[in-house]
Amino acid sequence: MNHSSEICIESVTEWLTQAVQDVSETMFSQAAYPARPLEKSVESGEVLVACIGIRGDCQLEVALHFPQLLAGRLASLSLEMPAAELDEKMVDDVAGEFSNMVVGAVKSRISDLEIVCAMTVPRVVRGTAGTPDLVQKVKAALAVIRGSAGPRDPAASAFNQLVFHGGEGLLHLEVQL
Amino acid sequence: MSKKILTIDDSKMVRMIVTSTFLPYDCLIVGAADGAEGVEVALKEKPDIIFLDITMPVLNGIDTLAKIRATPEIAAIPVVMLTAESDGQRLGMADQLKVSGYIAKPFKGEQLIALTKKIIPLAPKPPEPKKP
Repeated sequence: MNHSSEICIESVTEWLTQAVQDVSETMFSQAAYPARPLEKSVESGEVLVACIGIRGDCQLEVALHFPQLLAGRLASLSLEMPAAELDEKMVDDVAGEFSNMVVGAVKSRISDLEIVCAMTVPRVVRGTAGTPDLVQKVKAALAVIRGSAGPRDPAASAFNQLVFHGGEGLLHLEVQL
Repeated sequence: MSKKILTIDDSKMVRMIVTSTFLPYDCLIVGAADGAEGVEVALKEKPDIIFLDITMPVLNGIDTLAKIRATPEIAAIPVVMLTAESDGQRLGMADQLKVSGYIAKPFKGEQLIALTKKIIPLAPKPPEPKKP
């Protein structure tokens, strides 16, 4: 049986990158490509954060930060409805499903290495980027996702941030392994 | 006779995509947002085919499939797993419960149609009767 120490943050980052591009293109007909270092900007404005994890012999948490406009655009594309007709629940659902598909692809790769693990249901929170309120909401969502595994030990964890152009703003991903 | 399709997925987006995919066909689409509701709807509606997600609250897809297979009135309904988790482990568990096929998310509507046609006959939607 393989152990999660076989997986490195670099591999997870590569799988996430591929998955974001694949999901965007296939389900939303929207190209997504990694932002170049000069293009990356600090988040601002209203965002939806979809938090999702993998539990078991591999513990992984991913938080996908969607600018509200981007989330609305993705929802409009997938539900074939004008953005003005969408309610918050519909948009949250689309953000959650996007994260489900992206992390599902990563989970499949991990499972194929014979590492026993399962995905959590995504949790979506909303707030203003960079505010303590949003940080707290994301922390609380990730705590639920970690469940009985308890808080993460920063010294024993690997962390990475990815940024993608998604059409209406930048999609930020944070991954902890 | 119209075919009845049941989608069991906690994502409204996925349920709506399935509905819009089958619009050109003579189908009635029903949905459920979790496994427990899905079993109830399957018993009530007796669909011709079920699309089933794996990761869901209340009752996950594998347990839902086990329940369907253990319920005589709906045990024989073909079930297609529609899932973001396409690893060997999960697929093996579904195989043991006699799943009829798999569609990995993300997917295109054409993939759904192609697989469905292998399992049940699909007829085009009849034209609307002309108003006098």
